[in-house]
Amino acid sequence: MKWFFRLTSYAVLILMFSVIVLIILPGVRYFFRPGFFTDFPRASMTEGGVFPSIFGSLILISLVFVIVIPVGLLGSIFIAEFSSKRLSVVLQSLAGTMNSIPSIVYGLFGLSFFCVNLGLRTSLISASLTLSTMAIPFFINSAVEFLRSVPKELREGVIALGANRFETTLMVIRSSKNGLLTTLMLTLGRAFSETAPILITGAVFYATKLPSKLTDPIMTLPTSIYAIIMNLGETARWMAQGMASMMTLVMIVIYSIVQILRRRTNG
Amino acid sequence: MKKIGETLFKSIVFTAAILVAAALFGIIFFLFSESLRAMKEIGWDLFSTEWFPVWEKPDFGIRTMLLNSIILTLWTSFVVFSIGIIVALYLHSYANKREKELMLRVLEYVSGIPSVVLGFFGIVIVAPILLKAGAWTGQNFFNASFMLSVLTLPFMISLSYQSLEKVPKEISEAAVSIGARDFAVMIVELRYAMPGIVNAMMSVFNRIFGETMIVLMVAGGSNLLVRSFFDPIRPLTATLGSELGEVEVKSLHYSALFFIGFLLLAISLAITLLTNYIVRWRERWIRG
Amino acid sequence: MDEVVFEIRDLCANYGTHRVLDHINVKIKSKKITAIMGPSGCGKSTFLRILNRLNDLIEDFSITGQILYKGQDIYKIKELNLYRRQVTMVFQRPNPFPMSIFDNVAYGLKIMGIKDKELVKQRVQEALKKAALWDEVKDKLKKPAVQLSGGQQQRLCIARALAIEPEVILLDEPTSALDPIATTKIERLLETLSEQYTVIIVTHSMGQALRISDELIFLYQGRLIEYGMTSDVVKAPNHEMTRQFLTGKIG
Repeated sequence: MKWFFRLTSYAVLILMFSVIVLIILPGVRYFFRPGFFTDFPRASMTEGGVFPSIFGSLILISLVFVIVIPVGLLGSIFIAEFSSKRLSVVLQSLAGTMNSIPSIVYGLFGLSFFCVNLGLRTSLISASLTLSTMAIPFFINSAVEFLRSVPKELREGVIALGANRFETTLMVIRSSKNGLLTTLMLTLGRAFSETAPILITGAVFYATKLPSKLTDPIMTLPTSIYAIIMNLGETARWMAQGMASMMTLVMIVIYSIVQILRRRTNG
Repeated sequence: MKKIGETLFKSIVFTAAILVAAALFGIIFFLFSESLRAMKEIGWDLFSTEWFPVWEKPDFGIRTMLLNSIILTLWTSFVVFSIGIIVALYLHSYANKREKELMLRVLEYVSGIPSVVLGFFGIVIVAPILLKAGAWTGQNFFNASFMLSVLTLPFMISLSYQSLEKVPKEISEAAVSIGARDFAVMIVELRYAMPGIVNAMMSVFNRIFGETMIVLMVAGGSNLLVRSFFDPIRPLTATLGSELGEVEVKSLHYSALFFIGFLLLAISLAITLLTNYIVRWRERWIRG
Repeated sequence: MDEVVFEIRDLCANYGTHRVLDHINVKIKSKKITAIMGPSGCGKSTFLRILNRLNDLIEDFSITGQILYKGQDIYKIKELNLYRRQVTMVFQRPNPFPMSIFDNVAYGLKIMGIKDKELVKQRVQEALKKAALWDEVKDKLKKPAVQLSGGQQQRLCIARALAIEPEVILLDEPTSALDPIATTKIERLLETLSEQYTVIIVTHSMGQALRISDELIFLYQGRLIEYGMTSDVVKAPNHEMTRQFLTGKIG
């Protein structure tokens, strides 16, 4: 019994480990090609760098954060601190349900609502609104748990000193700081790696200029990997390889930060 | 003054929470209304076998894709559930601290790999191996199922492991004290951890069914019902991913694609509701 | 005649349909230590929490009757935060805020809107001295409060309450999470505090109640069984139940 369980587990471990290594290692050397991080791609993406994709991903995530942080934080504060028990159960299960909807469905929603009906077309703004619609319930789901885990004594301690609700809420936020940061990092990871919704609502495979306004389409890292691998030949593959290792490394950094935060929360 | 501030604060947080609820209904509404045209003009033929959206006399039948999606999801889920529970049990019952830490850390990193990168991995690494092994195409059912397993195994293992760890010590000790051997103890613990594990299974199932990038890149794209592991297939989501980019807005094709989306949404909602129901029902068995 | 701080008239309290306090009538005197005791589940914590109006936050909680604080019905007070600054509360488990020792004590002053830094510093120092904590922490005021020991944390919480200069301090089993030495320190502290403040303490320890209290309230299953000067109650309890509790037959 035991040896069978152990064998399976080690096989899974080795498999997972080799996936990580085989994704990261072959791409790292391209980081050292001159201009990989700073140049535009040239010659049908066989030469040059991936600067516009990095730029696009960064600007997209910044926009998503600008929307998600206030709405997500306020929403979770409402659920954890202000709403009645029944309403909070309803809202939380709504957020949970939205969390399990496939991302491509969000893409379709974004296409219909933001791109077509609001007339924003395939653009940076459509993509960031679509991603935000997806990221907000994700954020709330996790943040509410952390806000709730603040001990009752602490909350009552603040109230007993004569604090009003706003001040009490600030203290609750303050003492769940690590948890909220964890939530933020996980949201960041999700927005960074999501592909299908951007593909539908905001991506362009190749652009010669950076987007100059919100209604321009963008290149991003994940959509560029997809575009290169599906549309271009072997000679362009190295660029996708470089971006794939870069994205995976970024995600490992994000998850390492999450692990550090988690250890700090658990004391 | 302070009172006004507090009321204002309260109404702002309330609005934020309501926005979330509105979004869910917005999603349902828009997907439904965009797919209305297809439902009216094509009707039950939407469930026929042939999908030729851009022919002169187009066909919009999703049956083959739907079946392929279901078969792929069921098979992959089966693999992921069994391996996932075995590994979770190993971590819970036998593994020492170092093994646990290493495993959980590696799994967490893998769960962070973007699905588009896993798709890339499937094309660049797995497909050539399959070709060498004699498959007539590297992008096929097996490849998709394999990459989907890599995507979802970390979730399955860590969620099941967490639920097993939450089983109170007294329960396992009670089982041991009446003379149960390893295996019997595990069964008791599994029963107790079941709500958590069912939850994990359902979210894994949902993820596999809705995953787009991997199947779009490595499933092969051929709209034929799968007959062997190495057949190329095209699940529902792959069609959405590849055709939405160039479809003419508000055309019949566009509407038919939204119908697929609406179907995905309905299935995912149904699974979520079912999970909640099962979990609550199982929990009543355990916590009285 | 001693001055009366709280006059409780016919107080009943319910969680949903479950009654936890049943027609309580009692007066609490100023600048004395009043101990509320009784076996667990007798409603003593609920009684204390009502005095701070803390149970307002619980959804299905309801009360009837009147509680007069210096003649004013506390359930008619609009500016609750001002009231809670006069009648503040210390809890069973020490609950230092996630900030430095200094900021913990200064927190109450900050939310009162006191901006004068020198004044804040002075009041923090005073409060820490009153709570007999100053000598132990004066060199590490900027350190996180959670690094203190349990007993120190509880005295910090008392200091935090003292800094806002309340009139009444409510304590809900403040020593039940502490070791005997820390408990003794806190009992001493409460005795000195009663010269300036009205102290109401809930305790399940009869020994503690007898050691420190001037007045005793004995609750049993939500009813007021006995109430009076501690020395009188001990010498000649009016009620059989009290005698049993005092001799350890119940509780």
